[in-house]
Amino acid sequence: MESAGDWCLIESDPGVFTQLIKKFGVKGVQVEEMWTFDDSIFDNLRPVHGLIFLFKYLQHDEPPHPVVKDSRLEKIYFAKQVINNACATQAVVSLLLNCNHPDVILGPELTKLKEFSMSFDPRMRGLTLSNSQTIRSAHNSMSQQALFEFDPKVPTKDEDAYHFIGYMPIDGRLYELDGLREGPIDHGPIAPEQDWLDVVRPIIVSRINVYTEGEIHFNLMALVSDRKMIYERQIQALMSETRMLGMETDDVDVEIRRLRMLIEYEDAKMLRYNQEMLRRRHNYLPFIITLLKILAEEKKLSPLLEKAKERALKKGPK
Amino acid sequence: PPEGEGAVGGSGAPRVELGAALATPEVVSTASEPANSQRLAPHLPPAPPAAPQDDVRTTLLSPQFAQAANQFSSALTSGQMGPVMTQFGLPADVTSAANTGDMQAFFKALESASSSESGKSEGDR
Repeated sequence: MESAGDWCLIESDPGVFTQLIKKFGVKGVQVEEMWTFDDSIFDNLRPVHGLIFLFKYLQHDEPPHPVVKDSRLEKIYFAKQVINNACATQAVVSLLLNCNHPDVILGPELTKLKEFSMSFDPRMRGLTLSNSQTIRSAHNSMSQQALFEFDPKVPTKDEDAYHFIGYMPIDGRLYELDGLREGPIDHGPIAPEQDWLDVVRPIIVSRINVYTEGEIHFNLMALVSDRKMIYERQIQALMSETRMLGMETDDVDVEIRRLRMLIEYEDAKMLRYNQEMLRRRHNYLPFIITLLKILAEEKKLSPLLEKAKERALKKGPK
Repeated sequence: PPEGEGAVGGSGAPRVELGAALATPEVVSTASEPANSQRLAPHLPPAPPAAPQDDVRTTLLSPQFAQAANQFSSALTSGQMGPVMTQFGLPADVTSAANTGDMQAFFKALESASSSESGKSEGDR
């Protein structure tokens, strides 16, 4: 892989991804983190347009299924990853550009990117993506503000080999979109009456099991329709239903109140995302220096370091 | 303890990350004392409209601050913080200690700088 260019590392956090998508100009979607993966987890999130899986990249694993190299590539947006740190953005852009759902509005920027790059091969698509000024600046605006420029002599432990890939249904088949492969990986057909989430679940579960045994971190996020939009739509439907029937039942009332609470919860969540973003973008250096001065004046700095060393020793190496 | 000596890339020395060290109850309570929190207040992150402003405590306990503090400590131990310290008007002793990449030496220098300066210490801006 070439140099990391001007791309920063970004966190695998649903707030970061949701805001990133908004910065691309996409409407009607958000990203939710999956804490568990049992049967009911998606019940409150449907429709789920795609999944983003973060895991530690193992150099030597072979693609589990055939890599698509045929004419399907003309229809599937698949881009080879040409720079390192862009993989989070690459995974989410790949899901969005292959998403064909009325809830999802790509907006001018991604529509342009798609139109422009569909005639290219995967490598050229990757280059086009990494050269997109809008996408790069949206991506970079999501990262923690760098306190200053410096070369980390040792790669920090969490940052090295993590990788994001996407899973989604395209034209009745399940695909894995991994920018480090030569093409999309075909996981086979989804039956007409089958929920694609039931097809992808065992694949992800077996993958998670491998990582859990090796104590490797992973993270799973879902690209879903804008929740607030869905709840508002449901309230509208309930209200017009009662209007048509000319009566209001307690059940409907309870349901509408439940939906309004969920909307409030979504609003609070978006506010929290904004707050976290302002923190991420904040330059904490003056705060840190002032705090260290205060601690130095009170002679609390050296003891603090001693304690920190003890704790670090107890935790053992690494 | 001998581990602290010459810790630049030192193999034996434990790697100290300031994020956790600055989120301990001792630090939180020291920083939250009225006089101290007043000095820190101008450096707190902004809040979006309708959200409560972060205070010293929420800041010290936030993952975003921890990340910045960890970045600070790894820059410090790689010996690249000297020039930054100069920008903050810290005395030459502190700056050169920062350049060695030894956190302990840096903290000691900061402590002796503050005690030699005590008495006339209202200006820390």
